[in-house]
Amino acid sequence: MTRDGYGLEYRAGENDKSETKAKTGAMADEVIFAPLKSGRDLTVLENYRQTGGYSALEKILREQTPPGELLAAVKESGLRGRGGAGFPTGLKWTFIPRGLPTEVYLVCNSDEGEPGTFKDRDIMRKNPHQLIEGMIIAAYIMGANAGYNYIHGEIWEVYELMERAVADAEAAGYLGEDILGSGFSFRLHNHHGYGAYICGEETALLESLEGKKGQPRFKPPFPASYGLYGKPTTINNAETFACVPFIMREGAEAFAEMGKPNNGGSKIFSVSGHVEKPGNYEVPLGTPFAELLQMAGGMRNGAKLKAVIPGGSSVPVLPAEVIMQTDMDYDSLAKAGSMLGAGSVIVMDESVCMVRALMRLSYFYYEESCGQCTPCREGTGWLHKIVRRIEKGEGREEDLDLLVSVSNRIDGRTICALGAAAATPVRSFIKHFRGEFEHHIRKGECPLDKKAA
Amino acid sequence: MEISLEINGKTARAREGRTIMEAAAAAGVHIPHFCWHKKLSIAANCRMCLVEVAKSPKPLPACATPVVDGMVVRTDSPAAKKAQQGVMEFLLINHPLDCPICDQGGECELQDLAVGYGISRSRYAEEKRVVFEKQLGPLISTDMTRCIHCTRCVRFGREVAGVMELGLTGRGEHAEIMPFVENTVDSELSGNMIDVCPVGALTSKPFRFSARPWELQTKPGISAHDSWGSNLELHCKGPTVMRVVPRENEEINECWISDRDRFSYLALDAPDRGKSPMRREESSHRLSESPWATALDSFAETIRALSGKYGADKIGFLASPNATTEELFLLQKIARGVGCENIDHRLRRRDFSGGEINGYGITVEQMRRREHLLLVGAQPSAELPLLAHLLRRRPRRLALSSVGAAECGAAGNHILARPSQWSGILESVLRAAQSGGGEKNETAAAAGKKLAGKETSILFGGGAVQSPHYPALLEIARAMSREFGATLGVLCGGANGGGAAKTGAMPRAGGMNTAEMLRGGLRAFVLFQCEPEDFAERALLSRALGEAEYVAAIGAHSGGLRDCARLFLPAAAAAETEGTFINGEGRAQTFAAAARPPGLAREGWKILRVLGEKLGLDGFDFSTFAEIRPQFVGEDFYNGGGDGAAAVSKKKNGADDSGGLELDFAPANNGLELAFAPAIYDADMLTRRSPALQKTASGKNAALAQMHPEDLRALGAEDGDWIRFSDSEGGAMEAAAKANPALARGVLLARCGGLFGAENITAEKMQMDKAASG
Repeated sequence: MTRDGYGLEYRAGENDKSETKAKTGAMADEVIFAPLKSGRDLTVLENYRQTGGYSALEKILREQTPPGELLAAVKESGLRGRGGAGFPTGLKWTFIPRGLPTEVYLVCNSDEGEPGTFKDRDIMRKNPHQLIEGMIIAAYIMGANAGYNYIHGEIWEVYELMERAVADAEAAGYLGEDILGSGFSFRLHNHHGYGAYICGEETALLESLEGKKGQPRFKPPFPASYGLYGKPTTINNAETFACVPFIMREGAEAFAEMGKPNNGGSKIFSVSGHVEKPGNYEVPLGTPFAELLQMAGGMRNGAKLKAVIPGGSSVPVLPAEVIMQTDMDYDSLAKAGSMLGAGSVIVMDESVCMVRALMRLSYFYYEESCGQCTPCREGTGWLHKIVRRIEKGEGREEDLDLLVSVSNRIDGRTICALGAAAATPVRSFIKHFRGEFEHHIRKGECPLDKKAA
Repeated sequence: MEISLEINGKTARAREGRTIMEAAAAAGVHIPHFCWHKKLSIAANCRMCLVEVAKSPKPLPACATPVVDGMVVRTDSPAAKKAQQGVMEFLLINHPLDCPICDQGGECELQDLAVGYGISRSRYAEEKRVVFEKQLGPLISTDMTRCIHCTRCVRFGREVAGVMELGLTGRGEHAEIMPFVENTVDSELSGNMIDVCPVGALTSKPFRFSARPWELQTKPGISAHDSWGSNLELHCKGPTVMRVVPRENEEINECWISDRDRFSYLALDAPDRGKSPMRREESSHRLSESPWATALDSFAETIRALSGKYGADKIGFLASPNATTEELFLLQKIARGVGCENIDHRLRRRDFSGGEINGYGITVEQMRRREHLLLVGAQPSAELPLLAHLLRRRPRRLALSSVGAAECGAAGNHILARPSQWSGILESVLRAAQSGGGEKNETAAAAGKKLAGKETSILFGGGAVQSPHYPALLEIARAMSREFGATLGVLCGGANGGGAAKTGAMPRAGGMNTAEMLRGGLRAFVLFQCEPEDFAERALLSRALGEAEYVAAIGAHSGGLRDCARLFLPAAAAAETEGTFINGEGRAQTFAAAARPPGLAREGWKILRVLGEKLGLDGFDFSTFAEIRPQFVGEDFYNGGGDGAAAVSKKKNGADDSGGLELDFAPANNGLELAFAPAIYDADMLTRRSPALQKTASGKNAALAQMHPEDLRALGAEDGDWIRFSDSEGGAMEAAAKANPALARGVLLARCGGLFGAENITAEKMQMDKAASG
């Protein structure tokens, strides 16, 4: 068992999940990582086929299933966008106008760049063909003949792997003109981004794909009516697409039943931080956090849990006592005062200085703001400078109120959600750990440093 | 479809698809904004216009949110105000709060709105951002720390000027407006960036720190450089023009002006500006100052004496087409009063045999709605920068065809060719229109098809009008007009392009036109507001002036005539006199003097009035400007400028009867042809003397001999090498070369300096002494 903090060495099939499952009684690896249980290298197309891969697509194309029927299944499955917003996928797909004499584009957002996220990379690296199959089915449903997979900048080897997978799928006749003699054509292009966080925002991603500077567009118009090159476009997260073959093969009901009502299916949680076995864990939505933590081997060195950011750095942090009582699904986390986000669970133990943690996060948003609109361009820098000052022991009495006020002035007034993403950690860290911030300000030092000494 | 919405409790109506910003403006509600500009695309990036919309959880940007029926908008509710104040605070945290030392102070949109939406004390206690200045050229100064990243300048470049010369680079707090690498901003409309910049980040380099807006008086004016008739606002401090900005006129220049209109005022105090009458005695080689009375008397006496000695037909009157209608009218009255028919304003013409077209033949508004424009020998960006703008953002239905020696800068059917080939091409276009295709040259065939099927306007540029082939071109164009109803027009008429001809400042039967005057062995010349550089055949003019016995110049600047004039009378420039310009669409615009002429200089019409009186002519016994107009208003000045329906001669057969046109792109055996495209800042006496304009890239290029890179290579020369050009008539000139791939092969684009001919020009690379060139 390796533990590199980011699950680089994680192998689903060999990750003694059986033991975990026995301990926790939870299901794991049922949808996207399920074929990995075969122990085969799924980057090889034939191996994927032998686990049932591409059978859903073949059936659809053979039977020429009406797209409406397939769309109904996606709706019924309760699949919600896995990229962070959790928007019902089936509903999103109905926004694409049908029968227009214009090109429709399909875009896969694999540009995960938020601190804590690393699931799309593993999906592409371990089961690329399920993503490809999902995109082809989605393209069939929406009548798209061209698709793009926008891959994050730092993972070049995954881009190369996807290029090989797409070439293999083309050679096997699953991509290209007249797929399997069905008359349906779909070309898929991988695009290697350059690592800017903002390009994960769907309209900035479109701009970047078009060869422009990655800056979000203001909405409306939404991509469904004015997307890539001005054409109707659907953008979904890689995990969302990768769920589709399962829904088609096993049925919408099977997928929906896996989770809770309105929170159907399984979800990959990228657990990082102070746990024994960081990595990606695919579990049904609604799995209690306590179980997930146990799967990840529990707290590292038996340390005490302090706080968890359950959905990636842009969602509110939850203190240990709250998260331990919470189930990991969209609605439960919302009730607890946070969000499921992309399912990027950042676990922090008692050794973490929350001021320093927030300083790191606020630096990230300050660096990654695109600079287009005023509140985010000016506000993220302001936030970071104040937090940095507090961390350095130069905080002032009024700083905490100022931080909350500045956060409120950014949130909801920007073109895209990056402003809100920058404001949220600030407010939630201060809300839950105000005492720690006040200690820094009054004493000019970190209480943890003292403890360590 | 009209919908109804509620803005601040009042019902308003708006067309569907309009934004809240537009609907509110129509309802008289002002919404604060920075990035929004009525002529630019929507960016929605400043967030200043956030308003509260019922049922929306977040405030929405008024500039980008379309209205819907039943929408309830509040622009002044506590929630809206809070959002606006929040944005204002963010805008100010990194913006220097030193308005007293900022050039924009007093006319700054940020300053104005900060009064309404800012708080009196800053909560920001961190270090402020500092951004280095950018070198954008001689027209625009930068103070980039003041930039609020509204990207109006970027969008202006991309959408109006047609070149994206500035961009937003970097991210977040490090985002900066900058040119690509170390480029300067060179578009001919670049000065408008100063106007669209809402803060002091981009300011006028020549004007900077010379006056405060509240010290300036605003006077209306009209552009004196081209026939577009752009409306100007001249900002004066006392008797002096301090700067020029656009005056909005939706029908003509919208809210833009060219850099030429904006920065030519700098020529008003050029070193050779005439401030006193000057005379040269028979015995002297130098002009020396003279009292007005003596100077005027000497003019009258000399003119009388010379017409007595040689006859009045040995005198020539030449006037700038940028002179006012009143001035031209009085000048021709004087000429005819002394019995002379030799008067002309068409200085940039070589062949006058084809007849006349004046003005565009259509209005600017019609031009915008036309289906097809056929440009001949035109370079819109140099001749009429605002026409270039119109062509760039032309409506979808407007097709564009052009024939010229240089790329015309707007997409369409464009044929690049030497001037001598143009008539052949136009014939091909005409044939294609008649036969419905069949021409070998596909572009000509396509243009022909449009000529036949669409509402067409043919517009001649300076390159065509100045060409020795103009009569042939005119003849074909008239056939096009006759057969297909195309209108005819010229673009290059000068500021009074639609009026000069009607004032009578042209020879009638028995009189000489410009070309004849230059060759007619005249004994005396009277030049009004012009100098040799204003002529197509400037070498010939210089020779003619040198050989004449008497040269009298009336003008704002003495420079070009200092050596040959016997009398110089200092006149007001356009900004300093009242007058009327009739633009290319035939629109008469009368203006008042904005500034006072310097020293003893006087308004042109006053000088001409006294000269007429001194010569004892009738009709000069008036005393006010208002008394001039009634003398000519009967001449139908206020109708369209074109006379495209003028008599048409029989179309001659094309030389090439095979029905096809083969363009010969190799350099002609008989040498180079002058392309005649007038350099944008070599247009007239003012632009030539504006230091800022001359320092721009276009200004510097004007002195170079531009040729196609292949032609230059054929000479064994490269950029910067000196080339000697000579023609068959004994003319010669030398100039440094510059390769210009936008030119046709076999064409020379240069100030024609010492050349007499326009064709058969031979070029030779000059062997420079290494030491000398180094």
